[in-house]
Amino acid sequence: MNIESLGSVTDVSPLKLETGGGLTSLEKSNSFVSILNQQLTETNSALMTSEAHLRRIAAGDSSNLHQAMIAMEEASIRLNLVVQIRNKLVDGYHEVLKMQL
Amino acid sequence: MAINSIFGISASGMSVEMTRVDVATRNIANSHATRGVDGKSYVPLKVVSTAIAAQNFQSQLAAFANGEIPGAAKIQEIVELNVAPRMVHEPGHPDADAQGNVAYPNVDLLTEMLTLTEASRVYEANVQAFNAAKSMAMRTLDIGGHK
Repeated sequence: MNIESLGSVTDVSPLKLETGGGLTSLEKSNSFVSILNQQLTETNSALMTSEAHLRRIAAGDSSNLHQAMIAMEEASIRLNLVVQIRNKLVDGYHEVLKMQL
Repeated sequence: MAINSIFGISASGMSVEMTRVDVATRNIANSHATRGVDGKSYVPLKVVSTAIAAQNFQSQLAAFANGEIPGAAKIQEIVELNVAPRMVHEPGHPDADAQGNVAYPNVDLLTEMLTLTEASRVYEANVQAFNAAKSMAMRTLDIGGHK
């Protein structure tokens, strides 16, 4: 019985993991993370605006009640959007966790 | 975000209607004022509002440069109505002229009441438009929801 050398098998070049182009380089440019960050900042400022309106009303200035209501609604929509994005992210994470290996 | 500009347009409509109610209330409250500020008697006021141009790119850009929302409404000015005062013969009145006539502001109560009713209806309509835009935005966020 002739056993062939295993040389042809060992030739296989080892898999090279690509280290460049990971998350670190993604984060720098217009990545999802920075967009999400910007979205969060906008949501925060919308919430601050509605809080400022509420303060003004509490201080007795009800001259533009509708502006305050609209600012609050806008903030609520923005917050809802961020929460939905978060839900989608968590869903995706769970999906990955459930994956059979 | 287009939804924000809809909110801004609704808000501008509400502001205009609030001002109309404000002016109508002022007219009604002063309908028997025989003395106004700086010696002149009170003259009924009227709100003149205009639309902010949104026809083409240039006009929209100009609106943004002024900090306005294209397509929104804004108050151009509050003008004094060009009407002669309502003369009433009241000889004993301290503001009566030599003939015993007193000049009252020519406030048309019927018009003012109509303005009040109409302004509050249009205000409601603006709220409805806002609510429609808001519920559309909220429904959009329901896309792909589980339950």
